[in-house]
Amino acid sequence: MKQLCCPLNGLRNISEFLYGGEYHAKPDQISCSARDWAEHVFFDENNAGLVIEWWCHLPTSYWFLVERNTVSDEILRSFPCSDIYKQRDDSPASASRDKGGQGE
Amino acid sequence: MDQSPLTLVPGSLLRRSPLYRRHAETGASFRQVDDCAVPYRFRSHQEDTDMARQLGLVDLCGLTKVGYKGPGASLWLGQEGLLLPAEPNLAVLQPDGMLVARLSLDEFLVLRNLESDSSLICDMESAWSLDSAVQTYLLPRRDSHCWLAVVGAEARQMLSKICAINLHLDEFPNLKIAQTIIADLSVIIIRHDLGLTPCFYLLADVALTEYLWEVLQDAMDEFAGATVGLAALLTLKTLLVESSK
Amino acid sequence: MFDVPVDESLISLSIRELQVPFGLLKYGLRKRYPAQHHFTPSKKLKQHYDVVIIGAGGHGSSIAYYLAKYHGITDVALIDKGYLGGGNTARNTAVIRSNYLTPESVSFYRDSVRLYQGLSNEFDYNIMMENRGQLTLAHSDAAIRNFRWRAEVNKHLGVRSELVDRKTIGEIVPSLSVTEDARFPILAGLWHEDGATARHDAVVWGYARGACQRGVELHQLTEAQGIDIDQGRVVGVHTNRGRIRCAAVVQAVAGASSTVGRMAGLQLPIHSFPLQAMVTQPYKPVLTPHVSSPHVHVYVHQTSRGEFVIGGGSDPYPLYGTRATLEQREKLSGAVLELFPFLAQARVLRQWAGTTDMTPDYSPVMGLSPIKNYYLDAGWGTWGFKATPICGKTMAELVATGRVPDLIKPFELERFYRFEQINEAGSTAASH
Repeated sequence: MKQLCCPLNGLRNISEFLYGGEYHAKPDQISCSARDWAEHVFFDENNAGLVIEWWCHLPTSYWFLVERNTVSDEILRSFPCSDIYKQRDDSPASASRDKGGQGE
Repeated sequence: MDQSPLTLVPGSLLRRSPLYRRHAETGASFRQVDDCAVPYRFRSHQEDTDMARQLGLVDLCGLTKVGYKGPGASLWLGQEGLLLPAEPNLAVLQPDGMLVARLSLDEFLVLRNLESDSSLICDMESAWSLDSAVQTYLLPRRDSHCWLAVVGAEARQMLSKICAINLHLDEFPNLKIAQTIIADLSVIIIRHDLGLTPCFYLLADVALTEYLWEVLQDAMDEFAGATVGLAALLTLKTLLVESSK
Repeated sequence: MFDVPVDESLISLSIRELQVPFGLLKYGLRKRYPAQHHFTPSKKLKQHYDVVIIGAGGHGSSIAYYLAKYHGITDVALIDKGYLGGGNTARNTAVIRSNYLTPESVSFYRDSVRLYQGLSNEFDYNIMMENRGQLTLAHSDAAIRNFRWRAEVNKHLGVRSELVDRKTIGEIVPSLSVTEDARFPILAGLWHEDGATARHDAVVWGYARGACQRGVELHQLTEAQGIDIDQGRVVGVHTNRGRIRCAAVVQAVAGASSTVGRMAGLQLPIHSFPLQAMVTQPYKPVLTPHVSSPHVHVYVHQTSRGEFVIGGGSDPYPLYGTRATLEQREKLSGAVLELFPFLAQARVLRQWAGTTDMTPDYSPVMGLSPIKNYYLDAGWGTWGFKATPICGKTMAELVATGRVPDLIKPFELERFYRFEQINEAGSTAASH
């Protein structure tokens, strides 16, 4: 069976993992247009070649990122999402954005 | 824990394992451990122990266990005086026999020791509060996970039929953890050898206990393994102490 | 002699039957047996065509056929990087049905099934259409509710679907295991009498032959490598055999929709997953209908050749490859034995995969694109073969007239921007 290396649990059978879709940078949901949001939700690069994707190790519910070749099915590397998300976005600006729709 | 066998009456408020009725039907005798009726013995003590040396399946579902999670979990557990594993997927045996398993950077599972009492776990649970300055969250694990043990010289061979992890001692030393899939179920495997007798704890979603139990029994059949009680595990542990003297 | 009353109808029947042996005799006494060419041999690629259709599979050939037949548009290049019908047309399991859930889909696939019914006559070429009926199995109360809903929508729109109980299931498919002891006992079924299968190769050959007879040019081994766009309008296609200028382009490339779309600067709501299937050795006929179980993820029918065709869910992650895996063989085998335990002794002859362009709502993306005169025939996931005739007919109408036929309007790309999905995730055979 094909194997995938989980940053937390090491090399495991691919059947222990769930594919979670392409990695996309998320648009700002308050300022982006409805069309941008639709594209973020529904549309994909679906590249024939190198892609970065979300995967989840099911027994630990651990989400991480994988760089894979979708033509050769070769897995180049897997890495924790903290490599991209350096810190939690708990800033006041983010909090006020989250409340944006509710009005004063 | 050395007390007379327990007779459970229907109105008893003691906790029972999801497998209680199966054990009762196969003639188990029970003992009270904490607030739970645990299957203690299935045959004579000698027969149970001999079976456990070869291959035994033990139901430890009733025993106390608890989890802690959050960015401050390791800090908080350290303050409670526990020895913590340095990295995820390792467990550390505490001086009183309690097991602290590190499931991820920020999540821990604490398993009761098999003998003596569970007061330390209970003290920790009551000491915890959400207002704590450290970001730690209590995960009540007692009713969320079943806790089974596969014990005996044949344990690794038997598990290799249903588990893709290499459980050989060289690759999977004592107190190592694997969180993996067995029979399509998510299972936490913790190796906790009893002296020279290999022993693997299996923890899975409690709703799947009966299914997992049947899978394990089916896998054990070809090795002539059988269900054994807690008493056999305790004896194997004492043998370690005697032989190491 | 015997004084027996003579049945006139028998005599006329036997004379008609005799015509076949005479024809055969005449053929047998010939000195030469010229091969019948279905298709024009590959000519030199012209520099300009009215329409370029990228992808010579079932859909591309069908569009070319209807363009030529109904709209008199014959200056058409049907190009393919490989061979005619050599992509996913060759790899699908050839199921034809229309028992979907949404009115949009039911109407669309219903018209497709009706076109299929007349196709052999229309082509004067046997597509081996077999009206075997299709049975979908419910193993849960939720599935029964869904079937009841589908049956009502279907009947309302003129599609034959009905909810059937276990007893009826046993009568329709005596070889199916309807025991209570099964891991997932069968509770009810959705019986779809319009369900059918056809020879997939014959469908594409029939369409391509009809198109080529009317003047369409088939160019195999001609790969689209780029799309020329001028001021928001498509003006040409780059191929490995040179550049073609054209007034319109249709992309009908199941399994490569995103890749070709990207040449035109389009991003599509598509993920490409492998879908595997396998067949057993031929056995004597025991199974007539096509049987599918979304719950145990398997569908199966026995071909006229006697092979059991067994398919199931898509692979668990996207891939542009058509390798077959041992895991999927194991899964399919386990699932099919739940339904037909007697297949335990059957031998698997071959296993293969096709690429399915899956959309978020399990419905196709067809019609207009943001680029003028560039038309999309994409997102055919696991439901492309059954749509071949109606897709070709409606897309040809769109290309010829510029107007989107009502039947395919709901499937336009623009629906995703309006958040108006056509959810058929529950009605696909077993691919989720």
